[in-house]
Amino acid sequence: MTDSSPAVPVRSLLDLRRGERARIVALPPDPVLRSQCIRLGLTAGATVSCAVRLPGGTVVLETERQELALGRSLAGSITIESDTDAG
Amino acid sequence: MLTHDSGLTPDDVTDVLPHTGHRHHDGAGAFLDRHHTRLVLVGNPNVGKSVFFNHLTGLYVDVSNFPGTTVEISRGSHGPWAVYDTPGIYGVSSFNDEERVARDVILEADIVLNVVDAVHLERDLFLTMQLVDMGKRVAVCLNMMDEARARGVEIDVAELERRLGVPVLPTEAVRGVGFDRLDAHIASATTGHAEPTLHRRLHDLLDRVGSQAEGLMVLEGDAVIAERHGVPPGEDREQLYVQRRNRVNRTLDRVVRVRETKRSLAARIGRLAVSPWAGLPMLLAVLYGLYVVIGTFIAGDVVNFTEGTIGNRLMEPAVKDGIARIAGAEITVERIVADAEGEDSTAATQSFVFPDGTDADPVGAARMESFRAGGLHDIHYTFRNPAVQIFFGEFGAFTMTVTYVLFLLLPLVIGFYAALAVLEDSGYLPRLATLVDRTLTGLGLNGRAIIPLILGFGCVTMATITTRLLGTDREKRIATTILQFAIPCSAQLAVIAALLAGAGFKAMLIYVAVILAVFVAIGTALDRVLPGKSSPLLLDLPPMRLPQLRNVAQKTWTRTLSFMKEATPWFFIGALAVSALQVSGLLDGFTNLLEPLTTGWLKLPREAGTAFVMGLVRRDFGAAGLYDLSLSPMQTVVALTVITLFVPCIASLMVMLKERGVREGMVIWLGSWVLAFGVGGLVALVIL
Repeated sequence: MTDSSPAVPVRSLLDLRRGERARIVALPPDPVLRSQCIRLGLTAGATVSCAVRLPGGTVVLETERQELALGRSLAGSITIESDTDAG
Repeated sequence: MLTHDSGLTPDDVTDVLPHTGHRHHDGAGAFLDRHHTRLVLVGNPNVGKSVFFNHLTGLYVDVSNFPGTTVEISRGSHGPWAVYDTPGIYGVSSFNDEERVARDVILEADIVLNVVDAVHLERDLFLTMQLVDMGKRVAVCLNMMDEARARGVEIDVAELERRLGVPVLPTEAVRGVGFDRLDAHIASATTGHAEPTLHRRLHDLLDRVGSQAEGLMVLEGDAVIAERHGVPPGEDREQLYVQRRNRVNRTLDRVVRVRETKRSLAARIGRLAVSPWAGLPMLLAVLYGLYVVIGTFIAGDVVNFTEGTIGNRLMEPAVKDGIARIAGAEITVERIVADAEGEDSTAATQSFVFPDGTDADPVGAARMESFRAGGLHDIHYTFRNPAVQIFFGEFGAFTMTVTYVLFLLLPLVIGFYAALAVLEDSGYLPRLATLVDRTLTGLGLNGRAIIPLILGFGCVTMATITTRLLGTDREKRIATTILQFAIPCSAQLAVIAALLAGAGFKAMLIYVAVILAVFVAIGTALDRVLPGKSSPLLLDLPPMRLPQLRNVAQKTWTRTLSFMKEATPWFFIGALAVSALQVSGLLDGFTNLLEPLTTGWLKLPREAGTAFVMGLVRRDFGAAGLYDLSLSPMQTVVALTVITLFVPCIASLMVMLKERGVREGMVIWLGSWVLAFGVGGLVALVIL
């Protein structure tokens, strides 16, 4: 039974640790970026896990069977929740 | 049978850049063949599309820029089809130049051959479904089946066909598996099962937009296509994309099964290559490997042979001898001996004058021959007739330029493009981009810009062409500026290295520090000053694989050919210009003009000005001109700083004008004059 917790802090892909899985909550606001993310399978509700975290913020994600590299600014603008957050 | 579903008229104008306004006619109609069925190859980057294209079209291939853009489209023919290759794209859209051009070519396609990577259907199927939604006649090649098998990926091809509604052919392109059925497969291309609600909406739009494909573009918000038909662009793109993505996911669930296999060696290497600890040493190893193969072997050994021996010692004298037989010339022969340390020095010099050519003076010619025959020698020809001098003289279009283009540039370009192809095909390149992404974002670029930056050390002209692959105009601008300002190309590097070796360690340190500082400063400053934002890195990392020699060779060949076609004319023109300058005495005049800057501000001998002007044609001339000037070590640093920051060669300027436009290009060009002399003078102030 999980504790009911107050407001969960908003986390982005930058907060994801190596090996950790999470669900995408929201994509960045820019419409072109959003479309490019959706094309590659990064949609709201999709599950991703962090394969590599580089110093400086570049992130390598694993989706179903793909590896995607995201620059720091993009990773920082994609919000996520882990299963534990969703309670 | 020519069937295409767009309402175009035969003499439509071809201008497809979205920001140039009104185009009520089709974009690609006049660019594509009108007499044959048009077969267009479409696929994600790195799926092996080029192998299919090469198989279909053979050696006769024409590469040209899509009108109004700098994106290259290859075309060839195969049987009844005119075959077109498009750049690798993730989807059909107007997000960047490549996708815009691919969009226009696809709209004009009669048949689309969609090459798909069997190992990465989850990435590739989006484009496939979009093509199907567009109502095009599609045939899918499921490529790299051998790799899929090796990784335990099982695909129900029949079910995939059923769901897409188009024929799917499993292939292994590099080994040619499946190619025997390729022609029949392409001929059986058909329109597939578009998403039903979408299909109905597109049908309703038909009378206003002329084709289902264009209708889809309009619904997905493509402003250009919408304007062509005078309808407002749709606002549903995101929903349509999400819907399509969900459809892809459902199809994948039913069609693909992955047997859990142990993570392969390639996957482990791929992961290591991008990791913070192992990635850096691997990167350094790769860079070192590049340096050894290209910097030492090709730029050194190979070029010494091709340029030095074949060009300078064999070809040019032979040509000039021939011309000298009938044209008035003064021939100066320098006998060279190697002294105890292996250094060349001039033993004796003699000038022979032939007012009407050597044929007219056999006695004099014989005297010259015997002087030459004595041993190693350098020989200089100055022709009386200015026109002859321009074409065959020291900077002659038919002598020096041929040597430069064929014997110096060509080996280097081949080397760099081959290295690029190996990096691409091995899957390492995107990982390299990932590693350097953070560093490059500080300069307003992202990881992908590493490609032109590396190529810049080969040839800045070549690298400027490659800036096309960057995401936004802003990034192209920044990358081009850095390339034109601060990157010494390999032609220059050899001479710079030699001069620095002679000037000592401290000199080298100062030089490197100054150039690096300028490099960083330009990027940072432009990033602050230029409006807008650069695109962030969003790359898929393909699996690492062993590059196939045939594929590497084909890519290298196509790119080298395309580059040589584009750049060579400019080298000739530049050589003509400098020759003309020399012959008319304007070169000296120009050096005089620069003198106050050269001697007063830079504290260099006035002849350095000549070296700078020479650098306009060939960058290595700029550097080599400094050899003879006996500069002090610190003077060498100042001079090298100036020629490095100074404009690159004429070919580079021309390509830049083409890529960035005349106004922006000239601003960058003039800016580099200011920067070169400015920074050079500041350095001189400090160290001289």
